[in-house]
Amino acid sequence: MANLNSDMDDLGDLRQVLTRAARTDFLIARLLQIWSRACPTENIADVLDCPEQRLVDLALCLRPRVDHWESDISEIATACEIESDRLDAFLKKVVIAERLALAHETDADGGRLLAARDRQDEP
Amino acid sequence: MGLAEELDLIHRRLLTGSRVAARDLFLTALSPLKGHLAKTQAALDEETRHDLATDALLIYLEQPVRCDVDTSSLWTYLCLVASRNATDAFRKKVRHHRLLAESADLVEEWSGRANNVRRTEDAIDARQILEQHGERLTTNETEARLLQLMLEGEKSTDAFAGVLGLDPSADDTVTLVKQAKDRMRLRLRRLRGELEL
Repeated sequence: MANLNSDMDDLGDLRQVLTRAARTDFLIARLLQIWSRACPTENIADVLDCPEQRLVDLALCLRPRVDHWESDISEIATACEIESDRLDAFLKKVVIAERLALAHETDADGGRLLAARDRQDEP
Repeated sequence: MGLAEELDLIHRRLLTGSRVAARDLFLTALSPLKGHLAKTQAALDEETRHDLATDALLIYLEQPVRCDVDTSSLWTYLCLVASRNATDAFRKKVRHHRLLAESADLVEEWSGRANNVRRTEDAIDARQILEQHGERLTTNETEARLLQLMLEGEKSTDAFAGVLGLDPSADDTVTLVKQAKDRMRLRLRRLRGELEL
């Protein structure tokens, strides 16, 4: 299995991948992009209390499935060395924001994330 | 464990629902896939090879079930996807360069003409330039008609005023027509510069 602590060359390559990965709807990269655009002043690494390089790992994971949410969050959190509760809350907010945007047929990167940030219920 | 075996294990993890296996796929396969493209598609630049390798992984991740590792390995599957896309990219690049080379002569010839001399004996095919570059040179129908007049060597200010919707007898018409033509000449010069690159 791949080493979590990628060397710097690999990390550089993977950072280049993120832009293309964010165009897909099945990787977490897309959710991180939504958050970054909606909350440009908030650093995701600070929100998740993890090193920046863990965000690359996180971005390249598949999105957690709604019907396996807890186990998927647990797997991702363990692999990316992020506290599970923080990751759970963070992804729920972004997923809700994404759904709100889709429901209103607006840009998913829009301002609705602000409203979703206060919700804690299951997406 | 070899690369092919390692990737097949990742494939099986993906099929059983692992979320992290996608990241492991990137960590394990991206560099080897770029290396494969460097050997088999040397005509492509490094950035293109990187994008092709990335896209091959993303295409696979979208529907992992399309890959049957009982028939052939995931590594073989990824190489096939990347190589197929590389061939398409190369053909597209060749087609693009050929089109630019063909149209560069036309734009160069027109740009070298005197502004106020109509040379019917070597008139430029305005229609061809409009078809190939119209979208980059014009943003609306009025500009397209203005460009067509210029390419056809029209000299009459009244004709340009008519296209621009200006009153030919107004005091500022000559100035406004000149400004519109200057803007279009600037775009043509920029296009010529791009085509010469």
